[in-house]
Amino acid sequence: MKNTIKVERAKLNMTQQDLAEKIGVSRQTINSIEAERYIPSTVLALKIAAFFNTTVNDIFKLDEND
Amino acid sequence: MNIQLYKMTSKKNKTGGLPNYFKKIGCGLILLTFAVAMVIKLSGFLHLEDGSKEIARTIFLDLIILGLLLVTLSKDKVEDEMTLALKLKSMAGAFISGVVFTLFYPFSGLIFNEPLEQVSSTQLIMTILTFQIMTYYGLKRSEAK
Repeated sequence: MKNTIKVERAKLNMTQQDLAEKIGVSRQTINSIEAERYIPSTVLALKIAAFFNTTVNDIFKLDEND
Repeated sequence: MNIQLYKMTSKKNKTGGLPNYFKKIGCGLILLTFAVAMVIKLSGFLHLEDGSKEIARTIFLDLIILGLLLVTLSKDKVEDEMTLALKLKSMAGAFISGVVFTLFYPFSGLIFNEPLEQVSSTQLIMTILTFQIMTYYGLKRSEAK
C-alpha cells in the first residue's frame, strides 16, 4: 500500500519524530509506514489523515500487489 | 490544520507487560547467574556432592529462565501497535522454533554416535525465550533501516 505521508510532512516542514509525537507512536513506526514496510491499523490511518486534515483515501492508496 | 495530541498509550489500548526497567533487571540476573556459575566452576572452592550439584544446576538454570522471562515480558520505552505486532510475530516464531527444536534435537546426538536424548523442559523453555528475544530485536532492527 502506497502513501503520501512524507509529502504531507514536507508541506508542514515536520520531522518523522515530530509527527510521531503528535500522533502518539514511535518514530520507527512512522518510518516503517513511509517506507511501506508496515501497514497501519485503521485507527492509526484515521489519526494520520485527521492530523493532516485530509482523508485516508488521499494519503493511502492500494497498489497492484494488494 | 487539525492538530491534536494523542497520548502515547490510551487506556483502551494498554499493552500490558512489566515496566521497561525490568529489562535491565532480567539482563543483570542472567549475567550475574552466569558469572557466579563460572566463578564456582573455575575456582572449585565450593565442593558440592552430586545431589547438591544437581540442585545448584537447577537453580542456576531457573534463574536464567527467570531473567529471560523478565526481558520478554518487559515493555519497550516506546510501545505502539507496530512493536506489539513485532512481538506477536516473534512469539509465533518462538513457538514454531520450540516445536522444531523438540523434533530435531533428539537426533542431533546421532551425529556424534551418541544415544537419542529427549529435550528437557528447561532446554525447550530457554530455546523458546531466547529465540523470541532474538527475533523481536532482529525484527525491530530491520524495521529501523
